[in-house]
Amino acid sequence: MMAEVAHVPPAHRASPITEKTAVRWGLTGIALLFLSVVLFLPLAAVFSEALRHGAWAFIEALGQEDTLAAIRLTLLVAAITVPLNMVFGIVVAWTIAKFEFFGKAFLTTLIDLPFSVSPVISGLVYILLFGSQSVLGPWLKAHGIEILFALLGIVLATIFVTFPFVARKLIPLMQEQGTGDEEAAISLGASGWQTFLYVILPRIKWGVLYGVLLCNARAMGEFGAVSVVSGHIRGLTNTLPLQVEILYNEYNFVAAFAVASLLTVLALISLVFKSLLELRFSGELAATTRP
Amino acid sequence: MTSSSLGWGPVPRDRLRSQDPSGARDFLRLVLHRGCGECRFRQRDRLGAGSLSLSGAPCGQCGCRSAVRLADGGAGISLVAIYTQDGPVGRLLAPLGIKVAFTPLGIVVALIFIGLPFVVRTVQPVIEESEPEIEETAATLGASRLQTMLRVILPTLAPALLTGFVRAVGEYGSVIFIADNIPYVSEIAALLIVIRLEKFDYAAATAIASIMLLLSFAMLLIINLIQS
Repeated sequence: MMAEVAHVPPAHRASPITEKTAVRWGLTGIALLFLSVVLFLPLAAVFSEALRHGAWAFIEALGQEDTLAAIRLTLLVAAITVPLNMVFGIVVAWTIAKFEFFGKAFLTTLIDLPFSVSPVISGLVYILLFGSQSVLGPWLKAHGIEILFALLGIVLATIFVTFPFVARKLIPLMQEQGTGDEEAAISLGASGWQTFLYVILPRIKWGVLYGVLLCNARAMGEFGAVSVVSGHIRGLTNTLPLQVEILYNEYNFVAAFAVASLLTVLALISLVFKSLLELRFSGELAATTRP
Repeated sequence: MTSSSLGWGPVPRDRLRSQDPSGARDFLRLVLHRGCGECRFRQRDRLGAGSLSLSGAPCGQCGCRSAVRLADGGAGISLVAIYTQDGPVGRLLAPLGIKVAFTPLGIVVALIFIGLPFVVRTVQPVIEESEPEIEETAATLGASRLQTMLRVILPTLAPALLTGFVRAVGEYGSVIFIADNIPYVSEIAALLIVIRLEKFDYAAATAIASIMLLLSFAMLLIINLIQS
């Protein structure tokens, strides 16, 4: 049908479900204009502002002690949260996609919670839970466990915010694959662990990687939740996005944009990888059209 | 829990501010996104299934999604750089008397920026899955394209569009830079929580947070009701 449409000259084809050419290009034009103003220009501005005073100023800005500490902390937080969320995500997706149990709908809604709750509130819940005024607060203090304004708090907040990415990629994928293969594996004498390792995992591995990419990008870029629990201690609990804020509020614009451009590059890299995955393994990611 | 220990007093009037621009923003985005999504698959029809359409490339493939990945803070400051009176876009708007940065309009721009990918990612599959037969039926019954769009296509998109709305209510990182954060004018709800937290006023922070949570839950509930 598409080929047919392509060969008929538009003048003779008055399709009832297509707008006029002018309307179509008009809409496309508006959309492009809109996208360039709210999307592409900001992206370009990050780099142009960062390089405003030349490449040397850019490098110097990134080489500051506090910024380097922020880079290290951000990488560390991502290195801890992403593998954990990969495991949690697979477990939850497996539970939801392959089993029927009471409260399943509730659990499914709960997974989406971090997406619909404000990042600031995500941070706030940890303050209410672990803060010095909370029930747990005195106990934690007595045992010398630092959660808030320390690495642990940042990790917890990041885990919360990035939790849905892997699970939501995998749930539709695993639901679509059904339980037939696992039943066959088990009837052939495979243990539960073998079934997972040899039957389930190979079929979801690209979905997992896809979710991990998104999870990682978000983990490195999270601002709101981390901002609430981190305490903004320079060189200690400042992640890259928080470093951007601090530098910007000090009117150190070149440095702020240099750090922001670093984040943007990270974003673009994960984007490239994601697109490659989509291109190469679109079949295996077929059920993942829904975010 | 903590918030129940106090009355309505500490919940300030301007907490509702963050819902206000969202309405205008979602309307804007709805209009533009209908345009964007519509062109996308219609043009692919025309150019052949393999080719990516002009607006499809930035929309579904790279642009919007990269915005998700661009950190909130980075997004915030780059928006300021563009929309201040010396910035490339702000300079064009200044003679018209339109100020974007450091006004409530700036909040709208920031929320559009940050919410765009969420809406596209939820709306796009719905549009792609919608069958042309439905539109053909509408046309057969004498509907114009505008009527078809407003009465046939848009209602099916309502849940997906609302999802983007929910996200915008709690936005923080990208907004605080471009909004001037003037009390009662351009302070958003999420910022109020942070301000209360910095004063260690946990009860007030929780009060505002619980209202935002209730609002989010109510909207999610409405979405689920529409879908079922």
